[in-house]
Amino acid sequence: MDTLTDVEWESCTLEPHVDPELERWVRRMLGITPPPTRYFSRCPWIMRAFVRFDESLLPLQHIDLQTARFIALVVSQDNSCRFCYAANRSVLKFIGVPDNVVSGLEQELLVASDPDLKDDLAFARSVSRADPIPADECRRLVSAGRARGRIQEIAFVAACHTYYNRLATLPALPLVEVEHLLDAWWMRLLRPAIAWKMRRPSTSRVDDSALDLGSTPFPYLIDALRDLSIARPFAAVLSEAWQSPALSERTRALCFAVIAHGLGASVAEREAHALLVRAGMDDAQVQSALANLTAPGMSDAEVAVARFARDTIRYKPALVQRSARALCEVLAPEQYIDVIGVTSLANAVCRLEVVLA
Amino acid sequence: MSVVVAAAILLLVAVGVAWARERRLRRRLRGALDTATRELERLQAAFSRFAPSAVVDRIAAGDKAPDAARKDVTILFADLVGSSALAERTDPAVLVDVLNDYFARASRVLVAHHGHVSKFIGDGLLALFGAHEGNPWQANDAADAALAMRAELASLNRELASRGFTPLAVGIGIHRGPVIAGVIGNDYLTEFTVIGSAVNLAARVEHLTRQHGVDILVTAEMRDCLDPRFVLREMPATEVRGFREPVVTYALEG
Repeated sequence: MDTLTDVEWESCTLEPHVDPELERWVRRMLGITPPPTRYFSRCPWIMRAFVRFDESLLPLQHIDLQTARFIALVVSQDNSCRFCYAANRSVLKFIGVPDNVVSGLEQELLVASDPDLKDDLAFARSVSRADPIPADECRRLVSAGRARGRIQEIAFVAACHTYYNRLATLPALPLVEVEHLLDAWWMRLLRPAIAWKMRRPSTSRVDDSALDLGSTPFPYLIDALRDLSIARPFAAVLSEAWQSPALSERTRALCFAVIAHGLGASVAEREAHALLVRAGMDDAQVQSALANLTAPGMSDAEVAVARFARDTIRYKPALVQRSARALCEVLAPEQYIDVIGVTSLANAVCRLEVVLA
Repeated sequence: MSVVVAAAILLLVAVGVAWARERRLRRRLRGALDTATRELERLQAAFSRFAPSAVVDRIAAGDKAPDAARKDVTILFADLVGSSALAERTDPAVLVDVLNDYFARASRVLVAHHGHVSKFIGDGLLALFGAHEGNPWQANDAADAALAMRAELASLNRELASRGFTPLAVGIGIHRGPVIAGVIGNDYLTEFTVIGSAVNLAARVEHLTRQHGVDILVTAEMRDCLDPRFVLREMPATEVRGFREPVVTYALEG
């Protein structure tokens, strides 16, 4: 039994929809088709980002897969995401991490005996909380001798999980109980083989050759990560998200601008401001939109999206799920799904500003 | 030979029993630890309603006095008007029910607008916006919350009227300014709270609602941060205790 069972969770606001081609692709990349695939299939970039951000596919150079999975657990615990928390806990158990180690992570007992892991997980948690964006903590760790690349990868993995957590929490994806499967006799037989496979980084690679990665938004982040192999999948996610036809460029930029403003991510806010101006808003409109979440010339739907984007920054799951339900009633299904994806991504991108420190 | 075999069997049985006991004990201890952890998690989640998560983490880690911080915060004081008279003519159990209903509705509305109820003071409450986490929209949130409290009270009053009760009235004062936010107290009683002249001014502004005959008043500092969509009406400048200059306030009409 996990520690988040008391967290209130509303009913799901998305209808499942089968896209066989997308499901085949996800299965080829991950070996399974995770339950979110059917809920986000109307906006394929969301699941493509989901796959690209998966720890087993990320080309991590400075942290190992196990540390990345530990980060996944503490970030989803901190974000009270029941869906991701249960999934991450099950993954750790599947790969054979003993119960006492998983409990130790939850209870912060394990980290007490490993100061480096303690620092890594504390930093990952502060990236996720972003109150404020932990630039000072980043500088402190680097000046204490930690490799900048390692700190950047920890920040990146934590940011990826803020994406996953929101993707599951905002629409209240139905909770899947898989942990009990671990005790089934047939699973005990299969477990060693599955664990062996899951413990190793995947050899699958997403083909990005058709994407134009030279003109993605937020290029300063990709530049900051240029020495790391994660820069490429990150650029691909941004590029695909920005080409999605479900929302206008103005609505996407509005989500990023509001979330950057709420988090105090000044560089992301400047970039989003410029994108909004390029999409037809003037400076005064942008300033009003950021100060009051409404501005002359904004449609009712844009105001609703701006208010929802703000609610996704820090939340109690049930409250943000009610806010999502209200938004769901004023947008077309594809638009609603895209807003869930864009706000989730914006929360990750704006928190990632810590890598500029 | 048979004695050696018997002894070996006995030894094996003894080791087996000890191992099984040890296993049972470990399982029981693990269960107790898991239960305690879940309880601690629940307590931490409950505490995080009253203090920022980082402060709760540090207290849970044994830090009795996490650093206080200077913050720009929006402070909302709300007080029931005429509750003393109501107390005199109402059965205590009924009065407590009515007050609890009011507090539950007010708290729900404040939380829904990103506020935190810091404390209940008699039949009043102190709510904070931007004290627990950064919030650039705190002034608008507080004003929206005050208007929602007005609507919620109207709904409560309709229910009370149907039960033959006199309607309740509330006075709300809102001010934005710098405060010291931190954990204050001792071993017997500790709370996360805010202190500073901004808090005192918000309390005084709440008292001014009776003098001006309105239900919601905001200060000039608030007015400067508010979205132009809010309808404000300027009130005459008034002397208030503890402040050298007369205080200009604005009635929040909608």
